[in-house]
Order: sequence, then C-alpha cells, then structure tokens
Amino acid sequence: MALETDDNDMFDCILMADEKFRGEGYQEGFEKGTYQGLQTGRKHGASHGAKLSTEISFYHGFVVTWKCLLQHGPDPKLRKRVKALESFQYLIQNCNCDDPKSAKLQEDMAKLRCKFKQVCSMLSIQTDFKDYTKTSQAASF
Amino acid sequence: RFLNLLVSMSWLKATSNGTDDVFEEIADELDISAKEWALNMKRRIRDGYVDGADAGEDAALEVGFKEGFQEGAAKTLAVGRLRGIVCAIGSWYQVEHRGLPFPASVTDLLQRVSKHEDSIVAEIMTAMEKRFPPSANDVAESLEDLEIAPLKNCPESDCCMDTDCPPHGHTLHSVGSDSDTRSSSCAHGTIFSQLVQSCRDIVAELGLPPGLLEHINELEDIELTSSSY
Repeated sequence: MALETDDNDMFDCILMADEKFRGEGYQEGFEKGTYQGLQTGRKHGASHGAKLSTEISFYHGFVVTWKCLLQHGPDPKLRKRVKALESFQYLIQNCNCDDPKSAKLQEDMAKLRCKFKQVCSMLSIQTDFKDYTKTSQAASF
Repeated sequence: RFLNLLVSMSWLKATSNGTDDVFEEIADELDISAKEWALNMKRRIRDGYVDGADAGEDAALEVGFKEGFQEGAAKTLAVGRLRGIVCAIGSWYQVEHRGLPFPASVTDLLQRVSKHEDSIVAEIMTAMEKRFPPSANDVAESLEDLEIAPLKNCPESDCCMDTDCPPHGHTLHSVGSDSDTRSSSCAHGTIFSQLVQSCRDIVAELGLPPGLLEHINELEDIELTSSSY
C-alpha cells in the first residue's frame, strides 16, 4: 500500500513538473506574444485610422467650405444645393469611428462616397477622385 | 523519487542478467533517462511558449489595433480637412469662372498639402515600426548575457566619482525615445502653420467670405490636439 502511494506521488511529481515547465513556457510566450500583438495591431490600426480619417476629414473640409461659399452667394436657387450639402454634413457627423472593425463603419463610408459623388454632380464639379479623395480606395477595409 | 525508481529498476535488471558491470549500466541508463527527461521538459517549455505566444498575440491584436487606429486618425484629421477646404476653393473658383483653371496659388497649395499629408502617413508607419523599445526584462537579460553590472543609483553629487555612473548632465536615452517624435511633430506643426497661413492668404486673394477663416483657424487647434498623441 505504501509502495502504491509512493508511486502515485512520483507520477504526480512527474505530471506536476510537466505542467510546471509548460506553464513557464506559456507565461514567457504570452508576454512576448502580447508585445508582438500590440505592435502588429498598432501598426495596422494606425495605417487604417490615418487613411480613413484623411478621407472623412477631407469630406468635412470640402462640405464646410462649399456651404460657406454658397450661403454668401447672391443666387436664391442655391437652396437645393445647400440642402444637399447639409445632408452630406449630417452623414459625416454621424459617421461612427469608435469601432474601427464594425460593419456599420464600412456601410457609412460607402454612403459617404456615394453622397460625395452626388453632391459633386449637383455642384457641377468634375469628380476626379485622384485629386479629391486620393486615399479613399486604400481606406476601405 | 523518479530517479530512485529508475536506479532500483536498472539495478534489478542488471543483477538478473548476472553482469558485473552493474553500476556502468545503471549510469548509462540513468544518463539516457536524464537526457530524455530534459529533452521532454524542453519540448514542454517550447510547446507552452508557442501556445502562450499565440494566445498573447490574439489577445493584444485588437487592443493594439484600436489604439493605433485612434492615434493614426487623430494625426491626419487637420491636414485632411485642410485639403478638403483647398479643393473646395479650387472647384468653386472653376464653377464661378467658367473655363478658367485653378489659380496657381491654389494648385501650389493643394500640392503642398497633399505632400504634407503623405509625409504624415509615412511617418506614422515608420513610428509604428520603431514603437516598442525593448522591455526592461529584455535589457536585463542582455546585460546578464554580456556580464555587465547594472548602473548604481547614486546621488548626483557623488556621480563623477563613481565610474559605473554616467557623468553629471548626461542622460541615458532608451531606444526609440520620444525626442525624435517630438522634434518631428514640432517640424510638422511648423509646416502645417505655413500651409494654414497660405490658405488664409488665398481667402484674402480671392475675396472669399470671412466666415471661411473661422473654419481655417480651427485647424490649428485640431493640429495642436493631435500632436499631443
């Protein structure tokens, strides 16, 4: 009986050592992995954030300026154009960038691009995306 | 206990074979068993390390992505708006003066803004490459490997007498210190201020409504906020 408990103790000891070594390796690996994950995540996040922000803020600057220029214009028929700009501005302000991986953000971006084309058409501007939103293609993820 | 068991098993095996080289055989078997044990434990450490590294990376990726996203977004906010303003001014000018090209000042500013924007995005990428300096543990391990004693924390007055300490007034900068980032963001700030001023000049040159200047002036505040990232 005593021999049996000794055997059990011994095998417990072996198992414990096995788990201990694995645990030590896991802990070290986890620390290195966390470091690596933060670095990789930050790099990709910064790239996407910069490109997306460039596009959204471009639209913001564009709308605000056109609104300002049209409202000071003498033509009374400009109301329709101003209204289109205001609805575009509303879309920009309600574009939720809190969760960069959400499907809603991608939907919002698609709406913004579509609305931008519509506004440009209404203002009789040639929409050359190379000049205006040069990062729009790169920003879609 | 495990080794004791191995010894006794080897002993029994050797004596039952009736050999004289009992201890030699035991030693050989023990050596093999010990090597096998060490190898298995190394394998367990490696398996654990791989699993841990995967788990750690998965756990940190999203956190890192969100942090990077916010930082990247903040840094390009002002310059993106400025490009939008300049493009709007240029396109408005074309609508108002049918057939006339963009004024040279607008074209020039648009090019400069685009170039500045590109440089910010490029810098974000290089900054992220250098982002993480080695951890304290990594440095400590490296010092141990090189058999270098860590620096003593001595009062500044005694510093010059102690050869282990850097001379008074000299500081040790960590790898990837913020000094580079600070100087570059300062340079960016200066360039951006010049671009904003050029935009103000265009507003005056083309006789655009003064209300537009409010939006342009806002940009410098945004830029100041983003440079604190």
